[in-house]
Amino acid sequence: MKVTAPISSIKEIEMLIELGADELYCGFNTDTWQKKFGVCKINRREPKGACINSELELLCIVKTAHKNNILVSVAFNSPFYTAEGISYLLTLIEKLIKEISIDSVIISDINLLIALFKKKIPINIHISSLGNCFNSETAAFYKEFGVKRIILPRQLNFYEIKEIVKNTDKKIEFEVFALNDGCYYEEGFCLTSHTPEAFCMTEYQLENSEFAKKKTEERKLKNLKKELNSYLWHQNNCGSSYQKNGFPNGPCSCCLFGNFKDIGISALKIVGREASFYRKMTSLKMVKTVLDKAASGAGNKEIAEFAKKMRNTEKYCDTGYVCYFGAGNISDK
Amino acid sequence: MEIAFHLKKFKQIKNPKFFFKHIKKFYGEKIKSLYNNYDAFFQYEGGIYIGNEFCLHLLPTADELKKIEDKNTKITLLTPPLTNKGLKKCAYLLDHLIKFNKPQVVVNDWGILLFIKKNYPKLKISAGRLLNKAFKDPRLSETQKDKFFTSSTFDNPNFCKLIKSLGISGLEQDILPYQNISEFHIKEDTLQSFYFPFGYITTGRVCLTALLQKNKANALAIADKCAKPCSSRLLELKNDSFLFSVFQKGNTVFYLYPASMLEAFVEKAKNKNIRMVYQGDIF
Repeated sequence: MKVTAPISSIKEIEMLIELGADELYCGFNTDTWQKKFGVCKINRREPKGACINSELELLCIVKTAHKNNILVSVAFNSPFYTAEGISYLLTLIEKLIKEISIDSVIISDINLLIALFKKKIPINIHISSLGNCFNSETAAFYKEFGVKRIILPRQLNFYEIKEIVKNTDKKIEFEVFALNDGCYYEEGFCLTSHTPEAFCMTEYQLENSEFAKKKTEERKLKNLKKELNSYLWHQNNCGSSYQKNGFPNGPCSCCLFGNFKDIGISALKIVGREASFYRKMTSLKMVKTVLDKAASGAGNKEIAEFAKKMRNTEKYCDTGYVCYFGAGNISDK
Repeated sequence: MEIAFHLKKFKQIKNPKFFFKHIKKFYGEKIKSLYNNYDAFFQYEGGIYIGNEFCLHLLPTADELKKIEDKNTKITLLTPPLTNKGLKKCAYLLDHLIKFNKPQVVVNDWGILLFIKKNYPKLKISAGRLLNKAFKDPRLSETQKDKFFTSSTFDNPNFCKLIKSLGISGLEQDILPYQNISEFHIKEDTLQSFYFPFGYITTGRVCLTALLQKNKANALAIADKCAKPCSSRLLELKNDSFLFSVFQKGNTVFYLYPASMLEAFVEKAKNKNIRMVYQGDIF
């Protein structure tokens, strides 16, 4: 399995190569996009901090990556663009292929997918987790459009992933989330913005609606909100915190790496284009350490125990709120 | 324009005007023109919607479908995004649905579309709201005007060609929260169904309301089974930055259309090839 790591600055590339990233992905933003379509984020993240904002910087990243046999994907994964926006993106993608030699694009808008397919643009297409592939029939649908890889959504459990992979043409690659940044709603169905902050992180009061047939007791409402806040805190990288050993806290699927290898997952994604240099570095170190264990021939149970011990956050793991894909409840690890 | 009713449990609609009383719950007397001009607005019956677009646990059982004796009932089954296991569960329902006269299925993921085309080629298919991406964040500053806020996936000509090639005959959607109704263009070539009085904002498989049935902590998770506490509960999310009323029903967050928006839309859509789906019964 390959490790796909986020990059948002040329300053990060040496570190990512040194630590063993197999693939890189990034956001790319242009001034023209900002001026013409800026209300729609070009890749669902802020241009500053989460995106590469110059062609020269992207070129340097891609050249350096290619010298080290590392492929680079560029995300244009907003769930929806206007027809004019798509037209602009097609020209931009063609330019990035021709002048910068990017290897693939990560997309989710069905209309952008159709446009890329119709225009026969020579680029590997990865369907973002926002493309909502919940079953193998959806994977077959995307295959018809020449898709090479599908990044599976967060809100699947391991057994559901296994069924998808088992029942899909082996030519399709699958990528799963390995670490960081959970999501309370399913991101591909969420029609809100991450600006100024994620909608789910907006503090709101939870009350009985005047239209409710049955009222929920105030005590239960308070408990709901308390539980939700706890869930959100864990999903939001445990308040963006770190362990004493420097490893980052937050959602992960590390204890499933052995199982992923068994079922034929192609790539493990580290989330966090907008994350700091330090978080990117420690995230990659952690994922690689567990992956090395998996490559050493360790059994799945041993890998799971190793991952949990290394994370050293039993109290967080035990909540189940930092587990991607129901990792804490998989019995055949 | 026709009217259809999404019902929590199937029942024959003897008098379609039943919804007058029901919708008053949400608007009081604010949409009087809708009550007073019912016959002028709604010339046809769009039938009954059952099922759910957001949650597998809210699909009817095959027994419930079997109990509907009148097979001429104009029936539409709403389906949520489905896992492989969910597809199998849904197939059992589709086996019964095809016994009706011209039944329709609303699909909310591309997989179930392929599945139906392969296994139930005679079923009419409509593309569901979850396939229609648009901007619906309730926190937008009112001053921001941009085409981005008033268009959606279904507006793209490429999408319209795609659905024709896939044999999709209808489009299910919401009135977008920032839609300028006077500038809104109604397609004439495809049956468009608009849901009211709520539009959806966001959803996921982790359900806050389902937590009400659980006693233990750390219970927010994707559930295999559910006692459906959402059937009688509706919560409101309140924050000063929300420009419209926002509600949590089960695993999904909705917005209530302002009365003026709904009235203007119905006025504009009358005499058009449009279906309005009343969904108040499930709230």
